[in-house]
Amino acid sequence: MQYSWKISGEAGFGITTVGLTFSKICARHGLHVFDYAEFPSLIRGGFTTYEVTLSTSNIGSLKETLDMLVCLRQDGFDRDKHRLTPQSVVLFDQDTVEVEGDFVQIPLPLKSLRTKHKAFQVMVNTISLGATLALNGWNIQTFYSILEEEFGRKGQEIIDHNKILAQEGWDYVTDLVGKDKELQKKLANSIHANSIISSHSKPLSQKQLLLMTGNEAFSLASVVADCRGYFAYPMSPASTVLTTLASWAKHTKMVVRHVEDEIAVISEALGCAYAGVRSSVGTSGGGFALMVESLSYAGVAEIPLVVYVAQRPGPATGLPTWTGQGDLLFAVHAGHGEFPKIVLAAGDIQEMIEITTKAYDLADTYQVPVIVLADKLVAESHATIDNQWFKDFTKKHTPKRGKLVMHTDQNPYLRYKDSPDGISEYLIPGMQKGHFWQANSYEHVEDSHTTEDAEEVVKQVEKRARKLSTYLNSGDYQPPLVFGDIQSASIIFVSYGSNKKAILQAQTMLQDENIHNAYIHFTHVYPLSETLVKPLFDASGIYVLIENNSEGQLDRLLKSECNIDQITHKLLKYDGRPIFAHEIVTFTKNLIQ
Amino acid sequence: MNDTNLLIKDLTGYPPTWCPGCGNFGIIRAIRLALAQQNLTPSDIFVTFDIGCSGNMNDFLNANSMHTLHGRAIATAIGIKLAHHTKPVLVVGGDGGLYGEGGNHFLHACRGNHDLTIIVHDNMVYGLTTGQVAPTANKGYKSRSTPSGIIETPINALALAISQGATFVAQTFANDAKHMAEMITKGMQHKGFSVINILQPCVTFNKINTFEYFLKRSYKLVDHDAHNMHSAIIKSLEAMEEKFPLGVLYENKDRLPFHEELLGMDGNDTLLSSQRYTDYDILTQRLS
Repeated sequence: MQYSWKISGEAGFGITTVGLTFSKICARHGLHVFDYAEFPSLIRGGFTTYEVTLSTSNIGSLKETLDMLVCLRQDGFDRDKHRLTPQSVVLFDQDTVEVEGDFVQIPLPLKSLRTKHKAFQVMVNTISLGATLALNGWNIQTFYSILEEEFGRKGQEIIDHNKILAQEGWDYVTDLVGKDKELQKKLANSIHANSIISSHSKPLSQKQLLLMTGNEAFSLASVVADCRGYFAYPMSPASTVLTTLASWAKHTKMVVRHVEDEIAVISEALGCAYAGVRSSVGTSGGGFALMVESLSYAGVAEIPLVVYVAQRPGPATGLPTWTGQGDLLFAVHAGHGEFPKIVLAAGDIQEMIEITTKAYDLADTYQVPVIVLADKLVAESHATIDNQWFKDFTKKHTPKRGKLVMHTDQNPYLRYKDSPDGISEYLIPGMQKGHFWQANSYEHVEDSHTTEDAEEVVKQVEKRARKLSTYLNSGDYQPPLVFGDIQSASIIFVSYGSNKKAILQAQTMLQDENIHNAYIHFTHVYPLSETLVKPLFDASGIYVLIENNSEGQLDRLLKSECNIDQITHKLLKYDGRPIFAHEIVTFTKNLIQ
Repeated sequence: MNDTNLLIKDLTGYPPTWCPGCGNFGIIRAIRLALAQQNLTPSDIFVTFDIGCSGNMNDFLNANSMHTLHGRAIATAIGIKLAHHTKPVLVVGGDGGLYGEGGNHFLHACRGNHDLTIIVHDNMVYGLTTGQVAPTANKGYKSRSTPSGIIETPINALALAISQGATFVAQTFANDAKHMAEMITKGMQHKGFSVINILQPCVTFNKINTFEYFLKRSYKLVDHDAHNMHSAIIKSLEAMEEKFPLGVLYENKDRLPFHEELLGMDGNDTLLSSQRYTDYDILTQRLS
């Protein structure tokens, strides 16, 4: 069971702030949250929406219908009226928005309330949220606490003003409903009939759930992994990693650098990483494109580095504030020349934390660049995770640095010494008197000096390549996760990344209709082990690729890496919007009919 | 052998592969001399090398080093300095790498006043790619990539560095190892971004800017107030008349280097050696 709430209005007037506040209130009431904001790539004048999906378990994705829609602008209603049902509640500004249709209407005189309290336009949101809470039958205290936390620095006057406005919205709706028996009856059949809302009317005594975006999860996991250098140039949708880590730097002492361009970003990170400090960079496709030459340097010089790539639709500037998965093959093939790299992808917050901490370990263990692939949907959407899970996770996590050492017994020390697993001892430079080596971007011999000798070249090429087979045969490589039973499934979904939530949701919906299905979910997307992956593709069900791009890149990767050609159908979406569970359900039903 | 000579031997790697008569021989001698005189061994220092004839010094000078990508030696060195701020970090590259391909990094590194010593081999031509024009070449210079003469005017690296925030700017000449070593040592002793532009003839590909050319047009600075930015800028503009002052043009001791302005980066506790941070509750407080 899910509940969906959406607010929409003018860009630049606090829609995302009020949306996040509602998400926070719900998380503090013990509800699992998944939210999603749509906004244009401009600061003022466009149209912004914020959608919050609530559930009692952590599998929530976006819902097809809306349970409550708050419209501050006419187009907010017009664009989403097709998602309304007779049980939906529409809260609207009666001074500027006209609504018509079969749903529960709650008109709010926002303009006059605003004038009465001499409030700015952005404060209209506060009134609307107060009104929302009243309709939910929730008290306003959690909202007050958040106002105090968020506006604390702006002074008591601002806090009090917002509290008055929130209370005004709450009182107005309470009064409106209280004197209208007809309305009470309608609400009893809609919002009050929804147990998600009715059984979570009070905040929990302790904060049991954390609410964060994928970017915040990457940031947090980087701290947990003992990353001490983060380098970036702002680019949507990865920018909030930079701002989050920068805001934490006073505590963590991490060096968080906003550098002049992406080439400098990765160059500085490589210098820092070479010197033994765990380092990472973050960007989106365009910025990553600028970093690619240096990725190849990390490859040949065997410098550990984590690269966070939050995808948005390209090519070129593309759709900066929307979502997509068009850079999977770009990430896999990034860099000139041949060198090993590892690509991981996160489908939700918990996976992001697990995969990110692991990425730093893998970068050190295999002395390779590791790419953590995300997309706008997972990077910027907030979702809840269990606080206790996070605490337990951090307790048992110790960074694994592989063969990075502060002291070597080798004399002379050979930085690129050939070895059966391809991995050489990495003496952190400057640590041991008398020993030194170079991180050479030229091909080199074992002691790191430049070479053009044919035999030495082959030795190093093969040594580096061997690291990937070591990885694939180790416990570090994880074959895809399988949800459901492949053998009995008539439909088997194949996907990676943020589609996970929608697919898991669709799986339940299909199962409810007795359509047996399974889902193969990739987190370790490159390299792939044919031995471990191919057997998952020998069942008799229909294999359906689900991807947020137009070319079906994961299918191509499976073909080229694992000789898999069992995928016969593809659900591809490439309009900048995420894939919805109901779209998967419809696609599947059409397929099997 | 005395201590300096022993240290110089320690700092000496493979025999160089430069053309006979190349200014690089003098420059590497000066670098080794400057390091040895400061009692520094290969494991005490970090050097990033750009790509080009100058960058090929990576195999001839022993040090903890990175032979970076073309243009990226300065940006890479910033990362090393942040990790290991207690150790001296040098950058060795040519005018093409540091002022051309990496011009943006040069400009921004000046602004940051990162504590690096930048040694630029300024020979006004591309050597390793066999004779194309460099960003420091005079207008009209004919090269294999500009057969009719370059249209652009030369970059004025000294004026650029002084105006963009570099706190130590010097110029020296590749035929004077003692003067070069003195400038390099001063640059290394200076806390902040030090630029040492070395005028260097390319005996193979540049028949215009020769030893004789530089000898005739360069002069040692005397009675110059290096702490006065205004007079430093005036001196740096002499390049437009093909006059080359040698010595310290500019020095500003008042500004802190980048790492000293960073939160928590003081004393001998480096980014690498500091304690791991594990108080996650403070961070998750706002994530709920």
